[in-house]
Amino acid sequence: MDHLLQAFAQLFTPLPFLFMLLGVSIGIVVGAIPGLSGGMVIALTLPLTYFMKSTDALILLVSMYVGSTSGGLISATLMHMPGTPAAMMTVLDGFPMAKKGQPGRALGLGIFASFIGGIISWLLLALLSPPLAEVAVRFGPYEIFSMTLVALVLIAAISQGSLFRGLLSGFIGVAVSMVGVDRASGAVRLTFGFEDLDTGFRLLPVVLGMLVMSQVLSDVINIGQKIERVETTVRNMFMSAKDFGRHWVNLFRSALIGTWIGILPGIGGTTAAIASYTTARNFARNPDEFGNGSESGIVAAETANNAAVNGALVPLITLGIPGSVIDVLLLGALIIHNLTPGPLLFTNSPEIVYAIIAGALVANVAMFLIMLVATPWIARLMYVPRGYLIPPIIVFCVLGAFAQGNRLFDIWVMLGFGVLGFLMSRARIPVGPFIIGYILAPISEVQLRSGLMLYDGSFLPLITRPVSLAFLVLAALTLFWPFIGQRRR
Amino acid sequence: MLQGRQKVVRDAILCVVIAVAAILMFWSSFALPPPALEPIGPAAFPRWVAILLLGLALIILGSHFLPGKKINSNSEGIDQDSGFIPRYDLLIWLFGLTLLYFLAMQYEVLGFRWATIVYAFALTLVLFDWAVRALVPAALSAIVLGYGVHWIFTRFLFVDLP
Repeated sequence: MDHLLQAFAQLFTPLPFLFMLLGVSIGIVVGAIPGLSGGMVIALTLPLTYFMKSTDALILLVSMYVGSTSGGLISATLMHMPGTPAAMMTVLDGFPMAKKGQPGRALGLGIFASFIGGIISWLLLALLSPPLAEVAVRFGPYEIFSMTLVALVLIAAISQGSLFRGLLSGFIGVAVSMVGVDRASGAVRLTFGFEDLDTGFRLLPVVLGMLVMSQVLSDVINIGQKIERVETTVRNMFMSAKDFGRHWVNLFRSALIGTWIGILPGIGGTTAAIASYTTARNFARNPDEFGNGSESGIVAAETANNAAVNGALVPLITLGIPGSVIDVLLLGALIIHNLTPGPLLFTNSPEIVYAIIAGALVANVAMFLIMLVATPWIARLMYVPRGYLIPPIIVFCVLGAFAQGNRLFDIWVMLGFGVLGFLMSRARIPVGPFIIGYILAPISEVQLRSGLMLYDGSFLPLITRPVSLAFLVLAALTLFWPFIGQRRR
Repeated sequence: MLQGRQKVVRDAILCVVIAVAAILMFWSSFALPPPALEPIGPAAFPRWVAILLLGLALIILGSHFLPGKKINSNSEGIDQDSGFIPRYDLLIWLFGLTLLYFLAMQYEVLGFRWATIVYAFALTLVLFDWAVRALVPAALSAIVLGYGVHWIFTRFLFVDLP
């Protein structure tokens, strides 16, 4: 509790507070613009955080995460286009409601739902994280190895496209992560004689290439696509007590669904929104309203996707396992600031952990206030022609890739991974599992080999230790359940 | 939408590329030292991953030929029925200009500031289909980007740029 209060006290000093406001504002704007995403802006900001204090950096990045998840609501409602993937379900009811002449109502419902989802999930984040960290400290290398396996399988299973394409993406990421010096033995692997690869592919060029550059290459192809849009009004944006009364069950249920799905390693706001929307429709008295401007649809989707943000922070700060692709970037931020993610983060760097927790709450409140006041103006930014946005994005990618190691080689790496990410998306291979595989594989390999050293070369504890066995069973079920389900049908 | 045959060709190419990469990975693992402190050593993961990659690529390709429900992605390709024509020409321009931008810095033809200004100006014009109305905004945004970013990184963040 003391650490949390200290974190709040520090957050309300000028510089951290400014970073929080900046992060939320930039996140909302970027989230609102189709073609840009929270992942992109966080990846582009990562190199700039080198020069910041660790707590300030994480407050900024978490605030961007919160802002960008909510910002997607604006374009989903006004342009029939999710600004971020997490807003894809909001499109189904937000835009129809806006077309019926109620854009303010749709936006207002979404903003309030986002806020309440964030608050409920924050309470769970604050309550669950400390005890979970205490349990996680007792995890051995085999438990951590099994957990990383679950994360990889889960994100492969849930990402767009087939399970096998998701797994292929994940293992391509694993392969890329193995280039360079093997941490356990010092042997140089998969460099094929290129000395520049002895240190492996650095984090920022890979992430900027796969997440940002590849998206830019795809956006350029679609640059001429006409976008249907609705003008913004702020009428009826405020939720009344009656509205709360009508939607409180949906709000609470969706927040729990979003938080739980966010906690599951590797999955994020998009899946949370889908699950929550589907559940709300199944429980609705008039399910036919869904897809035609249903208030419950907007509430379910927006509550869950924002709840997933805080849910995903739980495994990140307690176990060092990213809860979503954006959490992978937060993990990268911890690594860049010489912090070791994992259960010991609570013990060794509590100021970092509680800065993240405090930042998540205050950012949620700031998001709510900024969006209520500034949505009409933010909406105008959505219509900035892409031709003006793409060159600066590429230049910032170059800077980000270069700044980490001061090597021009890294900008070529960034371009190479941009092309790889683009080709993967054309082959319907999702990029998310690649990033998870790339980040988790080194942890996974080190833990497995540490476990083998610890247990005299025996793999048996993988299945005899109950937590490790539970994770392996979960991974196996996730892998094989689609086929079992098919056979039953 | 891609036709069935095009999907098979696309996945066949994918399978070949992944197979080549997997074989190279597997082959390079033989040059690694044997295990020392634990039984698997540095070669194990590259070999396992190579086998998994090859297996997954074959499964994806094989799914086109299996009877019954296809194990395939839910959506395929850009929907071309809306009358929208994808701008692959812009993609080629962007890629070409970006290559020139990087080469200019690599071979010290231009420093970061001027390379960025020229690149941003040219790319903005290309993305606006060389429209005359975009000339002035493109020039202004390029100059602000080149000088502004250079100043922030060198004077404020103390990062040496090319």
